[in-house]
Amino acid sequence: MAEIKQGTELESEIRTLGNLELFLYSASVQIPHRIHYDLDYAREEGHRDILVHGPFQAVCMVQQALGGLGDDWRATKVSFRNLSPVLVDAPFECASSLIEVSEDGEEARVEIISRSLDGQTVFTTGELVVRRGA
Amino acid sequence: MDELLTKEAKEWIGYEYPIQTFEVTKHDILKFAYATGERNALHLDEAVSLKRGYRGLVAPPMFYIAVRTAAYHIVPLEEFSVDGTPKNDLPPISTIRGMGGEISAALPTPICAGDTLTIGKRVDDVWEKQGRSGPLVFVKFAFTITNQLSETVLNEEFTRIFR
Repeated sequence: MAEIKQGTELESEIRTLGNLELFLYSASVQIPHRIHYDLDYAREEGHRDILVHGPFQAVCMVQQALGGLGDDWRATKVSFRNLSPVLVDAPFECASSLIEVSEDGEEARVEIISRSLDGQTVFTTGELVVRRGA
Repeated sequence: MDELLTKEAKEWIGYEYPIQTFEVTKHDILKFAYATGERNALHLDEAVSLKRGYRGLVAPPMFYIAVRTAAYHIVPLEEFSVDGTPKNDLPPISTIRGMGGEISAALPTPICAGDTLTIGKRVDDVWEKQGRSGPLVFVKFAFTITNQLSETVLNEEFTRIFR
């Protein structure tokens, strides 16, 4: 598991969300917005393809950070800013790093980001506060 | 210049939606966990949750989106707009081209299977500004969720953007 100290970069992950994942996510959170499953409608709204839900991207980012920290850590605060949409079937990278660690090492602030594989497009930025053992 | 924001929409600032309740089942949590590729056994195996002292299967942190969305999106078919979202869920702005903007949420207490949650939703602000490709409307919601033990589960500010 990662060393809990300021500046530690947690192992990044590449995620690709296809139609099946988007359908299952839409159903599990009751988000029936057509831009997430109806290509013709998504194009009517000016999108090139079906869009990944902003909060689904956020889930991937939280999973990457907590996965890097270990199963005994829990997110107690989350913030996200969506800058650009992720399209269905388009791989994206989730990365994160510890920007502050409490003196007792039991709480930390984590900077999180999702971006294109070439790093040219940032999709979402954000921050987590995580606690151990909560 | 075109404006999307109407006087009627501004009047929604401060509007409080009806309080909703949501009974969380193990299957609600598992549906979310599997859909999102969750790997932490705490969110997949009830026995692991119980062993760690929780009262039931623990939901992943972002599961709260399912609670606060479903609480206001489970409506009859005729109440959906052409874009697939509920008609009466938003202030009357002259566009439905919406997307997520920003989220800021405190999650002091985890959600567990078996919880009965109480959800509050309020429109905190509605404003318009000019984007590069035209006017944008921002709608900022405030959500609160408490559980059956009167513990706060969520305090969230969520801003949606319409263009």
